[in-house]
Amino acid sequence: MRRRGDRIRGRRGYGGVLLVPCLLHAAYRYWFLADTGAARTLITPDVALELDLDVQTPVRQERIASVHHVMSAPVVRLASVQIGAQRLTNVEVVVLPLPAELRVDGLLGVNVLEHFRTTFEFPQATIVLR
Amino acid sequence: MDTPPQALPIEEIVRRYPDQWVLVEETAWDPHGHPTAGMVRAASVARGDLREPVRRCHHDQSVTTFLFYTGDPIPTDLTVVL
Repeated sequence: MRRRGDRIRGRRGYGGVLLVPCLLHAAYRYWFLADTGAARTLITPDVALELDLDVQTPVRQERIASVHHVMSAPVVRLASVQIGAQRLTNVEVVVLPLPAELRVDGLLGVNVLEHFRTTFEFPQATIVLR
Repeated sequence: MDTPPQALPIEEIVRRYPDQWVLVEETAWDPHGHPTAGMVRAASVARGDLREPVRRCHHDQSVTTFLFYTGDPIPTDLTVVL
């Protein structure tokens, strides 16, 4: 039987980018920017502090290529990331600040999206995870 | 004695706290699990001001919080290319 998928209503930001609410550790909800160009999901240092994650003793340091820089950043493990009703556990995320002008707390990257057949319905500001 | 905050619809929170970061303790959800109402625990124009309120809110409490910016998350003069 074909799965209908979980439709998660997000919101559009300037330029048409899609923002998605993500629930971390089953208790902390933030808006993340869906980014298929990000290999790994990203949280900001603010979020890491709020979740009491130890960024001084990360899983590892990883080299990160952004638009203009290559830098090293800590990778930590989230107990869970939930988008709509879809929940993943033990998710590795990189901790890096985003420009302060972006009022989002993370990027939803490929290491989460690849677990689903992900469809972006931009006109409806919706992401569908099957 | 402090008066406990009142639960408000998310739309009303957005209206009352324009262009601010707000920390909301969720109290009601739609059938998809998205919050529809909550109690404002902290608000500020500076994101960093909410770090400690988030930690306090979750200390010894089983709550779900929603932290978000009530204005445009992406400024309308800023094109994102990450």
